Amino acid sequence: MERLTEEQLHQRLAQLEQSLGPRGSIVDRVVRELDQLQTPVRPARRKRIIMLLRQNKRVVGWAASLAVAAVILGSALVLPSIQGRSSAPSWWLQPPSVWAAEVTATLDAAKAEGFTCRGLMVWVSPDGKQHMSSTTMKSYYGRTGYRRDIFDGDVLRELQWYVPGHTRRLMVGCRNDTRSFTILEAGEMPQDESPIDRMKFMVGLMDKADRKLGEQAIEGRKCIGFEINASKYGDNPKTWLTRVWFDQRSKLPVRIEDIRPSSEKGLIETISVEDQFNYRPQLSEDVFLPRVPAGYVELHPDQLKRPEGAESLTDEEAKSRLGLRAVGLSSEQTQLQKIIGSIAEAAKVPYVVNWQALEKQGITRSAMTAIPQGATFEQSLEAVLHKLDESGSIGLAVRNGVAVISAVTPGPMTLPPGSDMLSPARE
Amino acid sequence: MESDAELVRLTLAGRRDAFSVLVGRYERSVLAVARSVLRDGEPAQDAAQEAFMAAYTQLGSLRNGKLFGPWVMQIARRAAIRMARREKRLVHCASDDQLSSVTAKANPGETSESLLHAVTKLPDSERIVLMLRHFEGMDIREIAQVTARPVGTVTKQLSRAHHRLRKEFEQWND
Repeated sequence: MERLTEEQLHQRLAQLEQSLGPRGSIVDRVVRELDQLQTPVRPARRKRIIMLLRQNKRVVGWAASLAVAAVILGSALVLPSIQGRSSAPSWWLQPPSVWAAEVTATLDAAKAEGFTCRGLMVWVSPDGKQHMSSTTMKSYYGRTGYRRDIFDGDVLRELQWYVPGHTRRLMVGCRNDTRSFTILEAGEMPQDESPIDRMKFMVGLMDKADRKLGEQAIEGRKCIGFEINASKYGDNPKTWLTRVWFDQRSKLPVRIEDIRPSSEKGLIETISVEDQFNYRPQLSEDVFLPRVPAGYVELHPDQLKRPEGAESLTDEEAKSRLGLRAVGLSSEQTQLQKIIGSIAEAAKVPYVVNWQALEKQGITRSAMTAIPQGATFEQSLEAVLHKLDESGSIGLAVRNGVAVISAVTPGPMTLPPGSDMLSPARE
Repeated sequence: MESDAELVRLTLAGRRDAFSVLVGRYERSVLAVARSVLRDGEPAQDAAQEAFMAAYTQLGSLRNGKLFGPWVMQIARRAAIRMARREKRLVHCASDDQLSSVTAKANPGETSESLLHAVTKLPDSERIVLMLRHFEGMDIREIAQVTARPVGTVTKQLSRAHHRLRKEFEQWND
């Protein structure tokens, strides 16, 4: 007779569980069907009372009287509340305090279950066209941790886990492009704050909202939103705005936008976006466990600090060294190559070009290629520079239309052997 | 983590999101029960959905919210049997017991089907604990919270469920 060990039983149960298919499908189906239901579920107390009365014929007489009284009383007391409920589907049309109560309760439930969302930047040009950053971030918020995955286009470039350390929180970063990992004390970083907490904070300010944004379809869902001036909830300029969109059905946030005016030429505003929220994604604890592939080299935090004697450029120095006006299409070099060359020369650092990301932006290596129409200077740089800022080699900021480079020279960058993602741009 | 009883109470108070949490919590278990009757994935999903909707509309009749799990699984089983009859997948099903024996004998060689059948045959208290552990991925403490049972009781019930399944397996191989 064959005996089944505990371990074998667990394995078979796990196989059985896997055979049930993906998680979450039934939840989605039920939630959709619930939305179509107009009648909320209620306790069946009245039915039980009537049944009890039927069992005892002696009390039927006074039960009937009681029922009549209940109907009269019910008309007076219950009807108004029923009328109130009939408007429940349009909760967003209620006063702000009702809005806030509805949304806050839903947010608490969502936070307890965990969720994921995407973060990206959008640049808006004067003609209203929006240009999305090629770098995006997927964040995982769970009961036990926080993690974010950073993508260049479709390529997963970096993973960051935030885990408890002995005294402070640690960030374990693992980069696929440089095959390296870093462990840093993260402390209380802004990104530790869950967007849900932020949402709850802002929902509390709904009374001060500047305007409701009306209905809009986002990610295939009917949404409503509100806009609030950032100066109303902090020491922020009056020109900063925050817009939040909720799914009418689930009352959960679908999209959060932080809008800032841009002083850069060719841009009117930049928008930091959080979208693609996925609630109840059934995140296992494994998602929040740092995993560094074999062969990856640890980059010590000291290597990220500015070495003594490193050159640091002021804004004015960078401006003069960059000489952006000298960049032109008549040059033998393409505009992009020129820009890259200027930056590298000014910063005196080795640099690499992410040609894959470049090509995704529609930019090829041909001599006649220029920055594609509509792409901003900052976008183009993001496409070609392989985030050298994060390795401490180069920092880029655009102020008043001028690219400002703050650079250090930590030593030559080592390219991963056999990497097809990176290739030196300079011969 | 809210207990089932608390989520039932919130649902009855008009919080549909609380019911969504219950659906997420028992989705796999209910699907497993439906699969044990219907075998095919798609009809089983339909039955699971039907079961949750029936549970929602009849939630007021559930006197003890702590028993939501076994209750919804019972509804799922009935929904699956109804669906099987509708689709003429089963010809002779005078009772649930008959149905069980039919489904169990249909594919004796398929271990996962047999195991699923054995799981659905476990006593209510043990089945719910086993399903929450293995199908919903909860740990002992979480199961204790949602079922409002002491941790020790959950541990014992899980152990008994494992024992029963192993015993059942030995009988298949006799």
